[in-house]
Amino acid sequence: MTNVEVRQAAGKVLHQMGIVEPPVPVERIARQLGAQLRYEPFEGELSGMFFRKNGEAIIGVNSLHPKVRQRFTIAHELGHLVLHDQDKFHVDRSFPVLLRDGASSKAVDQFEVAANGFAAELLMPLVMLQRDFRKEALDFADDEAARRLADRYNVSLQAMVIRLSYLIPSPKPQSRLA
Amino acid sequence: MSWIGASPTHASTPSDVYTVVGKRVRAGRAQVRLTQDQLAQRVGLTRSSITNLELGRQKIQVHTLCAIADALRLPVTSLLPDKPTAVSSTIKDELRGKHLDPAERAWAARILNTGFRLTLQDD
Repeated sequence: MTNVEVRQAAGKVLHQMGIVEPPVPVERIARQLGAQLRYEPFEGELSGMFFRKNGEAIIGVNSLHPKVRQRFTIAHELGHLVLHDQDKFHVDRSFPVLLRDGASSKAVDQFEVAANGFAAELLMPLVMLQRDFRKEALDFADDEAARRLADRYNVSLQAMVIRLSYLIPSPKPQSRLA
Repeated sequence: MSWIGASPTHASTPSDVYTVVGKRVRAGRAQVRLTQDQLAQRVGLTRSSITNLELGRQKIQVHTLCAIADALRLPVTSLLPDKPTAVSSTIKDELRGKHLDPAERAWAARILNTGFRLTLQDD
């Protein structure tokens, strides 16, 4: 599955639910997609789990994690729900290591990379970010802008910074003498 | 990957189990476009063994099934028959197979609300 297909899948969900503005109501999306959300505390890195069997989908969330991380967890598990139609049970410990494309050739990791891409697009849709940047003339490299956007989208600063880093075109080599 | 759902899921007799496993291996092999020969090489079997197990004629060993699942890039559980009438034992098996430490497993069991936390201590 390509990045574009992953992004389109997330965009389709947002479109179906009529969501055009951040923050994206990820819990409502989960319910509307038929997934049960269950919260239990866990002391540690374990962030969430996804279980699907015989058409029943359950998303487990570590309720001790910060709200913004819980939202990302739910969005990530929804990625499994929407993108991967296989019955499965799996537990997620931490996501950022798998954010990069092609970080691993293992099929399982590709599922995780796709689920992360889905989560990023669901919570921080490209079209919404582009609109914000146009409207507010934000500077991609400005930390304060990233913080404001993280608040606005109800995501962690880390998630927003990573998201923005993918959206920034690579800087063109500049002539120092120009 | 809806083909998993399309393959037979129930297994009420021992020989059904091997029939289901065989069909799933065959479907999984088609999915990753491996020939019987190629799969046989990867898991250290002969091509005829693969043929036989795909037909459900060979009682596959667990470590072989694990190797096949790896070669097919599938979780090994996806090659096994479903048991819709015994949901909690299915969940229990799946929890056991996921390399979780006891605390993580207990958490997952609480999420799944299966109430077999205490019985998980025996593995």
